[in-house]
Amino acid sequence: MRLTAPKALRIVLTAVTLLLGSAAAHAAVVDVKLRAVEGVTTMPDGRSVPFWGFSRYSTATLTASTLPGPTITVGNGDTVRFTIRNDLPVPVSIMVPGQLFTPPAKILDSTAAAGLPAKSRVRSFNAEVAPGQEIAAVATFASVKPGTYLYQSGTNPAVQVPMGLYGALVVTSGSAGQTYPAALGKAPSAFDHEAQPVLFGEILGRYDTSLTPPAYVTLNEEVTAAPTVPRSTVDYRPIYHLINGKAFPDGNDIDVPAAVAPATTSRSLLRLLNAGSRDVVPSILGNYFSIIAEDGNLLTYARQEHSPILPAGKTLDAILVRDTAKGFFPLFDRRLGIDNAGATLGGMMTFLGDTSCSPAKGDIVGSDGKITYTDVLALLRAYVDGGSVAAADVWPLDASGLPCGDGATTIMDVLLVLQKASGRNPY
Amino acid sequence: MRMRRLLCQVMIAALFGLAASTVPSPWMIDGVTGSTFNLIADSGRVVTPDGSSLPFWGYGLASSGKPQYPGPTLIVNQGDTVTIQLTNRLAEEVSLMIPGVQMSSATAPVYPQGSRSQLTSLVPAASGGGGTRSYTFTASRPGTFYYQSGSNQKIQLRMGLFGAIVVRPTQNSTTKTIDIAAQRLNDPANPGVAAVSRSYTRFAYEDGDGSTGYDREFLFLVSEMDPNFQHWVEFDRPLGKPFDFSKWKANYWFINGRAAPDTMAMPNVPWLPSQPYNCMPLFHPAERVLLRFINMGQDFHPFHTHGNHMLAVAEDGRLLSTNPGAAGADLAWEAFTVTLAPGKTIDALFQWTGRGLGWDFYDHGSEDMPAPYEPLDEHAMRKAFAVNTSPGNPPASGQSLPVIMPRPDEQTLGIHWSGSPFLGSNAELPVGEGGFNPFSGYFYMWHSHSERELTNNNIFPGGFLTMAGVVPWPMGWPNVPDNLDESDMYAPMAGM
Repeated sequence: MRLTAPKALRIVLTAVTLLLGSAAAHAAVVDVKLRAVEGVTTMPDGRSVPFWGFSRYSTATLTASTLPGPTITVGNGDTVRFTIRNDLPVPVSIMVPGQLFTPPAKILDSTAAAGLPAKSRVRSFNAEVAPGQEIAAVATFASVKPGTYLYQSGTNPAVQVPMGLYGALVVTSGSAGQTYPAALGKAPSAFDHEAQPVLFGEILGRYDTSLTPPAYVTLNEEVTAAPTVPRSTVDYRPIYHLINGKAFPDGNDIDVPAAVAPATTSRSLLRLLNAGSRDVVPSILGNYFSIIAEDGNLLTYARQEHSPILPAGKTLDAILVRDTAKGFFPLFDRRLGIDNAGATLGGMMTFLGDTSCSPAKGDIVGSDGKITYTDVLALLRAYVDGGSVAAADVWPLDASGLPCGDGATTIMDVLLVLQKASGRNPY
Repeated sequence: MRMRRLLCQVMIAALFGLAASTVPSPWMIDGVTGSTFNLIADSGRVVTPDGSSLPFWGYGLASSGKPQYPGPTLIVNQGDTVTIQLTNRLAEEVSLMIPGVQMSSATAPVYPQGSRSQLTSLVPAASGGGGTRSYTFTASRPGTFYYQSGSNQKIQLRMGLFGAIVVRPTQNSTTKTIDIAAQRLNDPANPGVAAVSRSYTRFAYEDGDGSTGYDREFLFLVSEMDPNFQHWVEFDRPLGKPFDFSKWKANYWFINGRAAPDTMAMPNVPWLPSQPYNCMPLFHPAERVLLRFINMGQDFHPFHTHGNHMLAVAEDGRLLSTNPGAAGADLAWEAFTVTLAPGKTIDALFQWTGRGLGWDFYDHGSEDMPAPYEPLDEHAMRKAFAVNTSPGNPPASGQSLPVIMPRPDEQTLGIHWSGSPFLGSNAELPVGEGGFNPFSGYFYMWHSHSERELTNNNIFPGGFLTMAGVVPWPMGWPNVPDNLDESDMYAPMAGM
């Protein structure tokens, strides 16, 4: 906490760096074809949830939409042109907060809401594609700047974004292993490993106890019926909290590998995005995030935080520094979006770390998510036959209690899996 | 004035005696020190100022045998190997996790039968009904941390299973001298303020240069409750009825486990048996006061001090410097409202200077003008203290209150009115007014700037607020006699 170094010098140096560094590698024109269409996803409790989503498609193959939409990766300085085919019953559009575009003339909606006089209101921030239409290059973002961004529908976003019309846009720096072009006087953004983006979102409406019997009043089902009047989402209280479209225990652990000797540290890039309407606090246990960028802007100094604030619509780039010790770090929303319609534990939760240490290792038959005596028998058979089963290499447990294994299938593995199957070793 | 001061001191001595004190020292946060802690987890009841009480689950000291809200503040030293032995008296499994530290005990999440869908706890847990579990870590870095349950957090964190951890830096044994005036970043009214050197032996962090030195420290562990949820846990959950978490909405707000005005009662008062900690910052003018913020709720809270800005020097237990202890950029930031985010800790330094008030609150003569950052105790004690008149804008000598006081029968006076707008001055009080401020401190509100949070179940005032007191006299906590009655305990000034 000393007073700052000579600031003027730093500004000059930064300006020089920017001038030299702006000659980005070959800027390309990237055509991204997105189809907007209704989909259905299943929550861990079995509930089917209709959503509106994007998918990448070709004219020959109309793929189903995903929640969230596909991660789009382009290079620094590229020009990104979106072609949209709209199979939804409402108009849609594309916008990318943080990237420049030329806005169209105002797109107004003069439909009257129930009980209200007809009034013109802005409906879309960008050029629309009407239901049933396909428009090439309907939205163009020229010379995109590097970083992590959300793309989302710009039409009636209060409804369409909660419905699922969003995804991650990753703009690489143009240099391998760098999140951003190296710039003097800025936080280092180099990484050894890039983890999959961690995109927070939420879905489905509220439990209405005033009904008899009480029931979930779902924004999704109301809206998929495509009401012709604007709908307020002021009472929208989602009951499923999602990371990359999945509520825990669905979804995957996120691979963030430990350093491998002779390296002593390993830096993993974690892109954090929030497409929900609620601010979240992704809290990590056993490590710190080194926050290097916000909204695609590289910070001057990285911030060390275990519970950073990730407001709605924002992105953070974090570096997770690991040593050679293997293990797992829980990551969850400290604002307690960690249930599935009231059932805990679930929601916005995942584990970051070495997949070779997954606490769920040992489930080798059918991958039913549970270690049973069937798994023990299969492992015993493999052991007797002299085979090797990497997914059941659980011995020895390391100091953390995690089954990081030793690269061989032994009788100790069989015994430990037996312990797990019988519930005697829950770790 | 001198006569009155003397009289007051005599009165304190007469009232409380001057025997060695076993109650908290005047500069330190209440809590338990050591490196081995035996905790229990159990259920109890929180008393709220509107006359209600709510069930909570909390950690407590095994030696006391009862849970508290929040759990005991654990105060350890940097470098200590800390062991927490947990005995769980609740029916369901409870664990303990500490973001920001690396545990040396096992950390593997609890997946019964290895099943991902049956995850019950993020860290190893003590099973319900008397199970035990030991947690060990090395407090390698100083700072403000917390512990909380890693099991069934959606319910257990709302029920109160959390507490503060303070790790004191190794450099606390050393003396470091810094210029406390130069560290004020946002002081456009007086950019060229003269250096004010002060020496410290207590620091928030291992800063190397004394920049986090402080005179006093106070904890602000904030939390909230929705009474409907607490009642559901008590009555409906055992019957298997569901709770709609999307309707959860806080209606009680707590600082260190108490809602206002209980925040201002003394620590350990008998009518708050599960809420031992208070929160009433008291300090001398210009003292550096360390505020340790921890948000254990689920909502954001904008915490606001009046009068002066806070200088945030650390977040999440990390000094806001790129290179602590050596030459590095200063990342500290100044604000008068700080966002307290769930799960986050912030350490901020606060100094009450009285600058810009427009009158001489010290009420001194021109031969004795206080410097902008001069602690008044020192000033008052040493009449010959060098006068600092350059540069800056100290109030004109003897400058009176820049308003004409209304007639006494048109005034509304708070309980802390001393009869005079000047620090350390008493005057005659109107009948039935004031009386809780015999030492003429200056009291004003520190609170959440989300005004709805200043209520107890919709009754204003209450909730997330307390009074900060600028106290002109040397401070020392009194011994609290067993027979002190309630009204005395709401008058902390009586013990200053």
